[in-house]
Amino acid sequence: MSEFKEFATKWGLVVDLDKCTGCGACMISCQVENNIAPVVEASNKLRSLNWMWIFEMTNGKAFPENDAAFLPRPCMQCGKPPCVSVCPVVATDKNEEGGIVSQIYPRCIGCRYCVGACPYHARYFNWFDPIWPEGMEKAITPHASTRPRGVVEKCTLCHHRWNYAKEKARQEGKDPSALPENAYVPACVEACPTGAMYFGDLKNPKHKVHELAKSPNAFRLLEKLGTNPQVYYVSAREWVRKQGDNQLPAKEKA
Amino acid sequence: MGVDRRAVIGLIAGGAVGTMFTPAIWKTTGSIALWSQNWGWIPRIPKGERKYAYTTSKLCPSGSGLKVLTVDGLPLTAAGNPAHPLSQGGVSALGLSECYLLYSPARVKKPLLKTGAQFKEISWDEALGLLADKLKAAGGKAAAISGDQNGTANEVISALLAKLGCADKFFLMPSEGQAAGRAWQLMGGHGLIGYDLANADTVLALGADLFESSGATMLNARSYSAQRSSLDKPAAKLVYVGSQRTTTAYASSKWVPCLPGREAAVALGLAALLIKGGASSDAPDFADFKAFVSAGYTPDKVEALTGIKAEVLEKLAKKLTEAKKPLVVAGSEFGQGAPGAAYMAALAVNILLKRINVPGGVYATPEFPKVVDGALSRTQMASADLVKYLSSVAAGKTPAPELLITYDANPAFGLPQAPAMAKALAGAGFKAAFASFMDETAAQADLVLPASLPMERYDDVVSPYGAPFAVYSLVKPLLKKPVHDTKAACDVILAAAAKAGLALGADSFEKLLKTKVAAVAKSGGFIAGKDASPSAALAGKDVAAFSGDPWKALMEGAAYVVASPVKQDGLTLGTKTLAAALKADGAKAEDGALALTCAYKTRSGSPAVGIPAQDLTAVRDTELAGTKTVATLNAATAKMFKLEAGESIKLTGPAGEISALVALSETVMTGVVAVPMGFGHTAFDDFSKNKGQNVLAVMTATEEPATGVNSWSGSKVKIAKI
Amino acid sequence: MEDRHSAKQTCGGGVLFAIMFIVGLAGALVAGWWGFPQLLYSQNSQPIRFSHKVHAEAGGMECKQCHTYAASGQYVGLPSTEACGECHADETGGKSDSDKEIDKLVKTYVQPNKPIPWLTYQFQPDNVFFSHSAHTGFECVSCHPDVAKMDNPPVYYQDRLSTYSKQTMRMPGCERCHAELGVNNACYVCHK
Repeated sequence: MSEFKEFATKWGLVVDLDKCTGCGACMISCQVENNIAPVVEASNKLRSLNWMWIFEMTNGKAFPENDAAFLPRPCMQCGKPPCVSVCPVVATDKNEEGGIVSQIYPRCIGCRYCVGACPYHARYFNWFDPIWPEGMEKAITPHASTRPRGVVEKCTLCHHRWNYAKEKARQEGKDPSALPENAYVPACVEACPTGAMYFGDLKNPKHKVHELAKSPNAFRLLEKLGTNPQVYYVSAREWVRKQGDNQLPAKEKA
Repeated sequence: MGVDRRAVIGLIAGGAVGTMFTPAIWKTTGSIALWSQNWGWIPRIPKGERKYAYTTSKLCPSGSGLKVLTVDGLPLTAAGNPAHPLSQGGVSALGLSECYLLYSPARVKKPLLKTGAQFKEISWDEALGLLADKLKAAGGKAAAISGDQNGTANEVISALLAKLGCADKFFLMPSEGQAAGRAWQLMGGHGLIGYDLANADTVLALGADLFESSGATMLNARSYSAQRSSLDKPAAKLVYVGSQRTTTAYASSKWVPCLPGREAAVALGLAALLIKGGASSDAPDFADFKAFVSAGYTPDKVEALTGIKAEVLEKLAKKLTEAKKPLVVAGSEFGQGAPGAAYMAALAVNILLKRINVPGGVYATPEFPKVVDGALSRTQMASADLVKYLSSVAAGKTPAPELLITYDANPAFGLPQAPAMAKALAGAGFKAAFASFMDETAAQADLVLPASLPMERYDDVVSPYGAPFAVYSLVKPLLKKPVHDTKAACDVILAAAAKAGLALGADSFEKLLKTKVAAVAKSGGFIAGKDASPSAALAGKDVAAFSGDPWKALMEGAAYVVASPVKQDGLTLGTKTLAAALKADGAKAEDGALALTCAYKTRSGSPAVGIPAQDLTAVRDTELAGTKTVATLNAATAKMFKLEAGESIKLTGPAGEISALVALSETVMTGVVAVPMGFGHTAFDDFSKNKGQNVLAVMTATEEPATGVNSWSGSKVKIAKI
Repeated sequence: MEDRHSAKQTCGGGVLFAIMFIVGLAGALVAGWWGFPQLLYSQNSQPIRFSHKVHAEAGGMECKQCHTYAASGQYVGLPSTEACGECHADETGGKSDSDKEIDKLVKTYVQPNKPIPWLTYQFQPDNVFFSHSAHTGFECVSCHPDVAKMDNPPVYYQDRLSTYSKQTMRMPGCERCHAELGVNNACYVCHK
C-alpha cells in the first residue's frame, strides 16, 4: 500500500453505538442532502444506493440472553485508503487537509476496482441514472453534483459543509483553518435524534471527538486491516467492540 | 494540368496536417468529454443564494421546529431547529420529508368529484358550492375525522359540527394522547399530560416507544442525548419494557421483555411492591388501591400475566425506589391502541412515587384558550372514540353519517380491523376528503379537496401529547404559491361554512391564527431560546415573561412556552375504574393464537402521508423484503409453530388476514410475532403502493370496560403456513 | 516516349501535389482557426442590454451595491429582480433605445417578478465548488471581463457541445494559479 500524508486536521466521526436506535434519520438526511435520487425499488436492497448504511449486530445468543445493536456505516475516510491505491485514473484521492477521501465523478471511469477494494462496502456504483419523480428535482440541493450512470460514489462527510463553514469564517474575519467545534457537522450528525454521533477534528484537543476516540470503549471497524479509519465507534458492551474489530476469537484486541 | 489522384491526396494530406495545427480536433474532443458529463436528462443543481427559513413540522406528530434550507425561495431540505424546544436540532424521518413531499407523485392536484367509478376534475368554485350544499343538507347527520392531533384546525372543524348540531361526531384519529388524556380525566386529573424526561434520572418506559411513536419523540430523544456524553456514565437510566426491541429499547440500558398489551399489569405489580416498601399516597382511594394491587398483582401473578420474572420486577421496583427522580411512562409499542388502564396504572405509580408536577415527573399542562365559538376543548376531543363509533356504524347500531368530512386523515387505512372500518366509512352518504395525497380514504371519497401541505399553508402546533410544558408554534407557507391547485383546508372549510350560512367568525385561517396567537400570548409564558429553556424553567430557573409582538416572533419559528403546571385537586388512583377495566385480564388466550405486536417507525410514513419517497431506502429488509411484509419471531416461537426463516405465512385476525415472510430474530420475545406497521397501501404513488400488507387489518379492537377506550395493542392472531 | 511522359508526369505531379498540399493546409488552418469556432460557439447576448457604465458613472453606484456577499460568506454575484425594481419600478415610456430597454426590463421581469436569466461569463459546471470569499485578495478583473466601463455587455460565447461558456476559466487555469501560490490542489478543494 502506498504511503499517505499525515494531516494537521483530521475530520473524525465518532458513533456511540449504545445511543444509536437504528431509526434511519441519518440515512434519510444524507440522501436528501447529497442528491441521491429516491428509488421505487428501494425496499429491494440490491437496487438501493446509500452513502450511509446501518448494519444490524447481534451477540448471537438466543432470547432472552440476546443483545443487539445498530452500526451506522459512512465512508471510513481511511488513513490508508485501499480504494485510492487501486484507482487507475486518480478519480479518488486522499490529499487534502482534513483527510477526507475525495471522489470526482466526471473523472471516474466506472471500473469499480475501488468498490471491490473497500473492505467496508462504503462505495456504490451507479447502475442506473438518477431519476427523480417528475417535479421532485425542484428539491435537489446545491451541495453535490448529480451523478450519471456508470460512476462510483460514496460519503464525503458532507465536505461542502466544510467549505460553507470556511466561507462563513472568512466572512466573519475568523481563521478558516481553525474552525470551532460544531461549525462544520455533516448532515447525518445534525439529524441524529439521540445524539449518537459526534464530529470534529480528531487532532484538536478542544473537540470532543479527540477524547472520545481515545476512550477505552472506542474501536474502529476491521482495525486489523491497517486501513486506519477516521471513523470511530464507542460502546460499553464488549461483544460489540469485539465484533466491530472482527477479531478471530483467539486474537483479542491488544 | 488536370486534377489527378495525387492532387487530391495532396489536398487531403495538407488538410490533415493543417487540421493538426488548429484547435478543431482537440477542442471537439474536449467538448465531447464535457458534454458527456452533463446528460440532459439528469437534473442540474440550483445555484442561487442559500438561506434558512424557520417553521414547524406538521407532518411529524412530535411537532418539532424545522430549519429549512431554501435556494431561490424553494425549500430544499429540512433539519431540526436547534432553538425550538420540541426539536433542539432533532428531526424525525417525517419532518425530514416535508420539502420533497411537496412534489410527491401522489399529490392531489385539483378538486375531484366522483362520477361513477371515476374522478372528474372540477373547479374550486364548484367544489366549494357542493360542499356548502352538502353541509346545509346534512343538518345534524354529519361527522368529521381529523388527523391533526392538536392544532387549531380541530377547533374550526369541531365548531362547524357544533353549528350543525353534532359536535359529538367530531373524532380524532386514534392516538396515545387521546387514550392518556381519557385516563387522566378518569383519575380526576386536570390539564394535558406530559413527561419531563430531561430532568428525570430514571425513566421506565412501559411499552411507550419514547423515541419513535410515543409523545414528544424528538424532545424525548434530545433529553436522552443531553444526559449521555458518551465519555462519562449516563446521568440517567432508561429501561424499556415491551415485547420487542423497539427504537427506544435499542437505546435503553435494559430491555425487559413483556407480553404486548400487559403494561397495566406491570405497573400495578410495581405499585404493589412500592406500597409494600412503604410508598403511600393521600389519594382518597389509596386503601382500596392497596388492597386491589396487593391481592391481584403479586410478583408471581404479574409473571403469569406479563412474562416478567418476579425477581426482575422486584429489581425494577428497587430501581424506582432508589432513584431521586423516577418517571414511569406507559404507552403502546406502536403509538396507538394501548388500553386506558395502562396509562392509569402508570400514572398511579407516578402518584405513589410523588412524581406529579415536579421536575423530572409527570406534568399536567394547561390548555391554551379556544378562539372559535362552540369548538371543543382538547379534553373534550379526547373522550370521543372513533373506533367505537365506526364499530357501532358497522354493526348497524348507529346510523351512518350523511356527510363525512375527513381532514388530513386516512381512516380507511389507519384504523384497527382496517377492512371493517373501511366498510363502515364507505356507508357514509357523502364523503368529502381534505387530502394532500391520493390516499385510501380520498380514493373512496365522493369529493376530494386538495389540501395544501404544511410548507404551503398557515397552521399551528399546539402542545403535542407528551410535552411537559404547554407549547405553541406556527407553521407558515415557505412557497410563494402552492405547487398545485391546492388550498389550505381550513380556509376552504371557513368559506364553505360561510356559504352554507354557518359562518364561524373568521374568513381566513391566517386571521384566525392571529387571533389565536394573541390569545395564547396572554398566558404569561415565554419564548423558548438558548437562555430560556423550558426544561430549565421546569427545574426552577426563572425565565422572563415574553413581551413583544408574538405573531412576529412565532412566524420566525420560535415557540411560545408556558412552563407552569396545572394544579391538581381530587386526584385519585383510579382504583374502581382499573379494577373494572382489568377484570378480564387473567383470561386465557385462545389456543394456537399468538400475541401480535407491531413495530412502527416514522420512516415508514403515516397513514395520511404514505411512505415518503426518500424514506423508503431506510426501511430495512427485516421489515419489507421486496414487496413482502416480514413477520419476525424468535427461534423458540418459530419452533413452536414449526416455521422456518423465509417461509410464507398467513396471519388471521377477526376482521381479515395478511400474508408475510418469516424472519427469525431474537429481538422479539417468545410467544410474540412482530409485524411492521405502515405498509400495505393500496393508494398513493409507487413508493407506497403494493409494498407489504397492512397489519392493522388483523388487529382486534376491544372496548375496555369502565374506561370505554378501544384498544388493540393486545391483539392475537392465528398463524398458518401457506 | 513512355519514359519522358512518365518523367514529366512525375515532375508536374510533384508541384501540383505541393500546391494542393499547401492549399489543403491553408484551408484547414482557416477552417480550424476561424470557421471552427463559428461552428462550435453560439453567440448570445444578455437578456437586457445592461450598461455598467451608465450605472457606475451616471448613476454613481458602487460595484458592491449589486455584487454582494451574503452573511454566510456565499457570494451572491447577481442582484435579484427586486433589487433592479427598486429603481426601475415603472416604465419610462421614452422613445430612446435605452428607455425601450428599461421598459423591456420592467415589463418582462420586474412587474411579473421573474428572475432575469443573465448569462454568466464565468459559468462553472455543477461539479465545481468555487468560493469567492477565498479569493478576495484578487482583483475582480483578473478572472472576470472588465465590464465596469462598458456600455454594452460583451457577447457571450457558448460551446454548443458542452454548453459551457467560452470565457470561463478551465481547470488548468485554476490549478496553475493554485500551484504557483502554493495553495492546495486537492480534488475536493474545488469539486463537489
